[in-house]
Amino acid sequence: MKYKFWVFIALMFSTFSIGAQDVDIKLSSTYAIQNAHIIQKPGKSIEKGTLIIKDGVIIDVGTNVSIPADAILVKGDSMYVYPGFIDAYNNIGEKKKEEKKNEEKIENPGNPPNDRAGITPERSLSEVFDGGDKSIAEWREAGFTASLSAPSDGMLPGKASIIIHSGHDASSSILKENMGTIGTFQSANRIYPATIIGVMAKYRDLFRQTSYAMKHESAYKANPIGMARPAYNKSLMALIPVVDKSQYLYMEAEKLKDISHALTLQKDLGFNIALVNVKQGGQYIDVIKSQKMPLVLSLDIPESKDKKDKEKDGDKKEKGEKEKDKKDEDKEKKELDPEVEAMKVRRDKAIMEYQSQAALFAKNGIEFGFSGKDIKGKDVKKNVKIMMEQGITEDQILTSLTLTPAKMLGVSNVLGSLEKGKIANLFIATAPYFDEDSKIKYVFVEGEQFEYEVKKKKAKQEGKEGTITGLYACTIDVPGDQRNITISIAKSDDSYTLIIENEGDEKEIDDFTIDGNRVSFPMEINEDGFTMKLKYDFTIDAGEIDGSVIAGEFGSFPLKGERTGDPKL
Amino acid sequence: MKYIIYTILMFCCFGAFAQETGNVLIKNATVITVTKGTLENADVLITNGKIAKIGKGISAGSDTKTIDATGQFVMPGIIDAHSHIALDAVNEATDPSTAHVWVGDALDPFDVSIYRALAGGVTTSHAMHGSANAIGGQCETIKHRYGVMDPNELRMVGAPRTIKFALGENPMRVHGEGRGIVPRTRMGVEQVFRRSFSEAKEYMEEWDDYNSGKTKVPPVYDLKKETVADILKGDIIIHCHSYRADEILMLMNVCKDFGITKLCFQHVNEGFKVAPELAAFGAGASVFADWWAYKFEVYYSTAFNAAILLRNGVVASINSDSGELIRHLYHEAAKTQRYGGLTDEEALSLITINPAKQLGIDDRVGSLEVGKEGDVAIFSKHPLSVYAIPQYTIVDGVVRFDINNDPADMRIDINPEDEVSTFFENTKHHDHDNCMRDAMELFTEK
Repeated sequence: MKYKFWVFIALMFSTFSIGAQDVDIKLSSTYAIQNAHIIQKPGKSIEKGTLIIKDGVIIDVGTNVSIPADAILVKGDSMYVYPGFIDAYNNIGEKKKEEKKNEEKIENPGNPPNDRAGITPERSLSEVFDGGDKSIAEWREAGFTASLSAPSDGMLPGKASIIIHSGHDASSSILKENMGTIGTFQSANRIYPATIIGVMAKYRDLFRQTSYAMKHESAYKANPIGMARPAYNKSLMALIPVVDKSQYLYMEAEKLKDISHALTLQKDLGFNIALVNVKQGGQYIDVIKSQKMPLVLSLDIPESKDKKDKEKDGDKKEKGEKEKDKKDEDKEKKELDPEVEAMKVRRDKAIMEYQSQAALFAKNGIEFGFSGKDIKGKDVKKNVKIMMEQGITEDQILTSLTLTPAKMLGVSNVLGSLEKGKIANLFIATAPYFDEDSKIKYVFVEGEQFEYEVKKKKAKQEGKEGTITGLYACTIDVPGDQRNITISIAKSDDSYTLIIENEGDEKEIDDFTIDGNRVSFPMEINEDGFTMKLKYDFTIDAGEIDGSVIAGEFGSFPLKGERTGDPKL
Repeated sequence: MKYIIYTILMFCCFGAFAQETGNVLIKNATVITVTKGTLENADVLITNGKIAKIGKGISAGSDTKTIDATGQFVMPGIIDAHSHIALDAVNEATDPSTAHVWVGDALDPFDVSIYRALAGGVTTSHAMHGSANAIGGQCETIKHRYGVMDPNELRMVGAPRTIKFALGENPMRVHGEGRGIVPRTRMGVEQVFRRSFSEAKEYMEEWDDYNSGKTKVPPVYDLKKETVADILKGDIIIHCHSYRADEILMLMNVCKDFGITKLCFQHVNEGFKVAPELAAFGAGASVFADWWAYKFEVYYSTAFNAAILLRNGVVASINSDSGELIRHLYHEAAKTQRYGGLTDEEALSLITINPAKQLGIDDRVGSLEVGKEGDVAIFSKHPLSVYAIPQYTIVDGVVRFDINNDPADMRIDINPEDEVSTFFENTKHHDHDNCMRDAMELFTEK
């Protein structure tokens, strides 16, 4: 089932190629960013400053610096230079997992091999790293130039390394390997540990076994004569740095109960704990503060659906649909169920608690980094701005994205701020980062320049009211991926022409249904004897496409788009 | 502004949850102590979570909440010796013996079932591992402090450790039929026990040798064997899922062979057949009032079971094993008056002091006595009357259920991603046969 699914994904998009837009041959490795507003670190900035990069390192920064003759000039007038952001916990650069097939049946589900049970603490990031993985480009484009990255999956998925987002191979991307071990509360599928109670017991077993294995090892080293040789167990060996406290166990602890489980284990087993990807940590503020445990909060926050809908309604009203809306509103009022409304109030309060977590920690003087594990790079700004509405300041956000993670990871001598001698990790935005319209134009990763096209103010164009014709830039969300297509809907006389474009590959759709603003059509994909039937179904409202692509038993994928111009003829 | 409101809310919540014990004075009630008779027009004073005084004309300071219970009935908080509420996992069904797992690692303080139990006067329950394995996981005795956020605050700290065992068809079905391994038969179940106990004995000896310096190599640490060894040492009470009389006798024999004395049978639908033997062993029996014939091995039972056991000198209790039955255990206890003619005190002992004895907590809860914990249920009528409606339920002197003043929505942790949820969505998992929760998918081929 899963295997088929990926075949389908592969086939569906077989006409696409992955763009490699930001690879370019450079003539020099020296850059001078001139006349820019340089934010060296939160609270410290230089107006009209110049920053010199040479061989990946910041060699000078200030207002009165000499520009080397071989420097490539980067005009920074009216632009803002920021230290590259650091994601304090993610799986950036982890190779796409191959679908596991024909795995051997497990003879004893009560005692399966460690690697099948999700216990691989010996696994380094470098073993699963792929510099070409698009997560690196995605996060780089969002201003993130480095991260603590780890293998994923399982209760002990492996060891985390600090990487820089240059997109090159492991040897040049990995800044510091095996920084710490990752722990989660993920159970295994139909084998031990299949539940949270199994996972907790397994932690206790593994840690205690490790400490006895250490005793055995050292006794054997002291005098092996007449003593049974210690068995080699790579999982236990890999846990030694955690048990002897030379390494942190980074526990993924999103919700309140996860944090409780993590703290319980820490108390039982006595390791050095860091809490990562925390979403609901407010209750444990005192423990976190008093034990000074490294903390990484999630950038993933929930948003109120009603609020979003309301905003949408507001937009509509501006567009002269007031009357129609009013009718709807009256109708709605009559149908309001007080019990449901009361529940909505409570849900919104819960949402606010998640949104204000960062503000609460900041207010209590607790330092933290941020993890983008559960969101896309492009959503970072939107989410931190919601956090700011709850009382955290710009500088506190910037600190949590730069200085704090650098310090937490022990690399503040080379990362986290724009100072002479540090690694040239930075980004240049067209306006202050937190401005709505600010766009990132350049990102430098260890002195390597990446340039991004800055689109002028939203090109969204609405057609005439009631018409659906136009050229629409759309995205389809498939798990772990996002694909761009263009849909063109033209009308001449009374017939429509519908064309779909997949990065250069155009296809005219003959068999479609248009009913008011609703468009649907089937599409068949044939490849190597594999046939896949898709069904597009969406509505067009005020220049926006909203709908889905249904792929039979594989489920449906959201389709969204907006009008960018007139249709192709 | 929003932030300020939030902060205020946060601190209010903290304030309420931090208060673990409270002071309550209940006035002018009929006080059913269960162990020391019944007092008319009497008062009960709870100070700092403990029962300080029981008698007439008691007064208390202004820091004590006073409840006028004129015409009402006060009894000890009800104790359920067998439930699966407040748990995120019930069965680690991957092995015939999972003594190493512990449901205390999966407590869910947000489970609304806790509040529903409070609404039935239940203040303490025995949150148990399921019956998928011959030796299941360790259980946890919890107090229904609904409102706390930290799972640890549900624990009844100091209560003896307990573990779930299971006889008969459930472990046979999961492991024998499901995987073709031992136990395939009832004999196999016995074999799992004997082998586990023997291995644990050897394991203890290995550690003794290592600790005394006789051997230099430490044995491989094994939490499963550690736990079974703790049973052998008498540190853990066995609570065994059981139906048939022959198997009940079997487990008592196994325990005798290994010197185990702390044993309580659960369900025990044929317990009435071996009541004298149970009494002689000193084993407890926790039964349903009148529920059987839901599978083959439990075809033979009687509503007189509890009464027969009790009158034969067995420490007997009535349990729920269900998030629904737990709300009216007082009705379940009353059934023994119709089927068995038990006295009021005998009937109530089945849901108070006796389950407390089975859990080893009878020195702390289970009756209204000075010095015991302030766990109290107040009913509008005599709790054995079908007209009785619980009014207040108090845990450690804190009112956790108040029929007149609690808000309509008693959920604690709201999932922000959820659609506005309905009653139905909140009730999943709380039907009967929770004993096999998390286990079914493990042995049914997809």
